Parts: sequence; C-alpha cells; structure tokens
Amino acid sequence: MKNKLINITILLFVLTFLPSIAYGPGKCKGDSEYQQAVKKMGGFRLIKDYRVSLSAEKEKGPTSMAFPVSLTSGLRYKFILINNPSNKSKMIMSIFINENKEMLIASSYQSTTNKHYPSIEFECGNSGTYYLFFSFEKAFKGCGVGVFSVSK
Amino acid sequence: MKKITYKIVFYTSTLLGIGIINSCNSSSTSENTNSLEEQLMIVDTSLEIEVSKEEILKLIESFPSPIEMASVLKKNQIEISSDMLLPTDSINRFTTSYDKAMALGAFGSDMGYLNIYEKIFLIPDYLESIVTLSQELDLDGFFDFIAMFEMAKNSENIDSLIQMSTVSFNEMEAHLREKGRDELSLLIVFGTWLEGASVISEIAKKEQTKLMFNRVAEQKEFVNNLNQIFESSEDDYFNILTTKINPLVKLYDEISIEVIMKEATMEEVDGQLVFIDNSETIIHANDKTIMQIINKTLEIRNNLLK
Repeated sequence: MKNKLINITILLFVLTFLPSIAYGPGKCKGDSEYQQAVKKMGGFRLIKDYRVSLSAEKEKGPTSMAFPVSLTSGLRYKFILINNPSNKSKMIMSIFINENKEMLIASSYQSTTNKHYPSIEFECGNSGTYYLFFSFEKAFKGCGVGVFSVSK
Repeated sequence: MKKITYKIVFYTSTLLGIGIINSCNSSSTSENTNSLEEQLMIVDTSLEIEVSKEEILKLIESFPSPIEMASVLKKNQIEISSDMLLPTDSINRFTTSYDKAMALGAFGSDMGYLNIYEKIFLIPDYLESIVTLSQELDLDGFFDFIAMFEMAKNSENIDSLIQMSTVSFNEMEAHLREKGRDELSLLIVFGTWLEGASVISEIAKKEQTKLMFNRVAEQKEFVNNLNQIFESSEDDYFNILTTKINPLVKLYDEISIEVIMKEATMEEVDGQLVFIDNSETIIHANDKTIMQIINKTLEIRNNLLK
C-alpha cells in the first residue's frame, strides 16, 4: 500500500513538472501561451503567431529572434505578447524598418519609463516589409508567444 | 491619455536586396523533385550573385495575408463582385503539382475576400476547390474541412472560419518549409499574390481612383522580389513564370515609390500602447503606366489561372 502511494506520488510529480521541464526556456512549445494571446485579440483577426524561444548562454548565441512582416498602410495591427510562466524576465517586441535594426518604429518596452506593455497597436502609414524583433529584458533566455493580428 | 512624440525619421524606400542567379542552363524536366533551394544552390561559379534560402523564406514569411487587402478595400467601402474571382468549375484544368500549388494559393486568396465580405453563399464552392487541390497535393491534413463547411453555413461564424483558414494555411506553409518544399510554398504565395493583385487591378480599372492606383503601384516590391527568385531557378516552370512576369517588371520600373517616414505618435490608451504611423508614401507614376500594369496583371492572371 505504501509503495503504491509512493508510486502514485512520483507519477503525479512527473506528470505535473515534466512538461515545464521539457518545454522550459529554450524548449518552449507555446501552445497555452498562444491560446491566451488569441483570447486577447478582441476586435482583431489573427494573421500569424510567433513561437519565441531563446536559450543563449550570456552573449554567446542569438539574443533575439527576428521575423520579416509585411504591413499594409491604412490598417491597424495589434501585437500581443504572452510570456512563459518560467521566464525570469519579460519578453520585448520591437518593430524596425529593416533587419539591421536601423530605425525603431514601435516597441512593447519603453526604457524611459521602464515599462512593459502586454500588447501594442500599430496604425500603419506605409505599406512595406518591416522586421519584428523578440528579445528578453536583461536576459538571454526565455520563451513566449507573439501574436500578430489585424483590425476587423 | 498620454501623448508622447516618438521618433522622426526620413528615408527613401529601397527594394529588398535579393541577389540574382543568372542561370544559363535550364533543366530538362518541367517538374523537378529537388527543392527550389537545392536548385538555387547549384550556382555557376563564374557568377557572383546568388539567391540564398534565407531570401526565399523571407519572401514567403513576409507575404501579407489576403485578408489584409480585403480589409483595406472593405474599410474604404469598395465592393467586390464574384466575377472578379476565379471560377470554381473545371478544377482539373490544373494538372501538375506546380499548377495546383499556384491555384491553391489563388483560391485561398479568394476565400479571404469572400470571408471578409461575408459572401457566405459562395464559400462552399471555394472550399470545395481547396479540398480537391489540397488532397491532390497531399496537404489536406492541415484543414478541418468538416468544421469549415459547417462554419460557412452561418455568417455569425465567419470570424471563426477566417481564423481556422489562417491557422490551416500557416501550418501548411510551416510544414512545406520544414520538408524543404520551398518551391510549392513559393507557388502558393505567388498564386495568392496574383489573385489578390488581379482583384485590386479589376477594382482599379473600374474606379480609376488615386487610392486604387496607389494600391496597384504598391505591388512593385513584391513583383521584383518574386521575379528575382524565379529568374534564379533552373526549373523550366519557373523560367516560364519569369518570361510571363518580366513585362510587368519592366512596367513597374517606370514608376518610383518614395517613402517619407514622419513623426510617429505614441499614445497610452487604457494601459495599452498605440502607435500612429504618420509616414507618407509618394508614388511617382503616370496613369497610363498604371493602366498598362493593370492590364498586364490581368493578362498574366487569366493566362495562368483562369
């Protein structure tokens, strides 16, 4: 009887914690984060989701993930960020006009106020290809999901 | 509500610097089992320019969803009619897997318009075409067609149908990319673009407004990028596409697009940041050239898809 209880306890422990170990920073699957983000779209329609996972050891390896995205003038877009609960710091999403990060257009993090925003809206004035950059504040590891949506 | 001046930047738009492989030899088969990426890696060493896999994926990944342009048109209260879209009869006119991939993209584009304009009575026919083409390409596993047909019965479900279609096409694209079938991905994207460009052209031809002429001109970047990738392929099919879209590229060369990035405004509304981009796009083009572009686009679309 005692052995059975121990086995059940071990099984429950494994079932509870294994997924978070398996999909911790660097191995983030992001399905639950994606579901949360979709629920926050409100009056916007899904275009794409970005599964972000960074596991660099300090400065070694990539410290951000970049994705090209076409935006159309006259449309309002919403970018929603959901962090994995195990993240030690918050995910930041920034929009640049090119992949060399030459000109910042918008960001979910404002360094002047040290404030993070869970979502940003962007009303596009110029159709073209932009770059979304995902990173983590003062950290090189973390995972989460970014959802890109367009106004209805 | 807090208003903050965000940034002042000025720049003139430049095209994405995608290199060109000026391939001299074409393959003898119309459908090659090698991925486009593999074909593109076979580069004549005497040539210095090449298209990397990254550039192809960038184009595929950054391609706008058809629901975006449909949303722009609807916001401007522009009507679309069903005769602007592809006919759904005789789907067997698409014989090769390349033709089918292009058609799948085109019907996906039409679905985007039908969904946004809530023309639910037409949706089943277009879904039927997507079922057939995706089955023939062995890509039907990404679509829950039973649920989609059910949703298409009621306009109240249209948002769910749009979301399900978007997710299905995104997953299919990711799968093709994972399997190295970039050529199919590229043709799906090309079909999506061509059909969307055709709808814009039809409306622009009818309305002849600055708004619509500008939407036609905005296609320049994508046409050039596509052309450079097609040109670099050794596959006969892509060479034929190059021949077909080259006259369009030449017409687009006659117009220039100047982008002036102006002060963007950042507002905090109910705890959320809202960025209002005040940048301007100035299109230098005469109406005659735009009309020629419109007619050429329609000619290419009708030749390849209708």
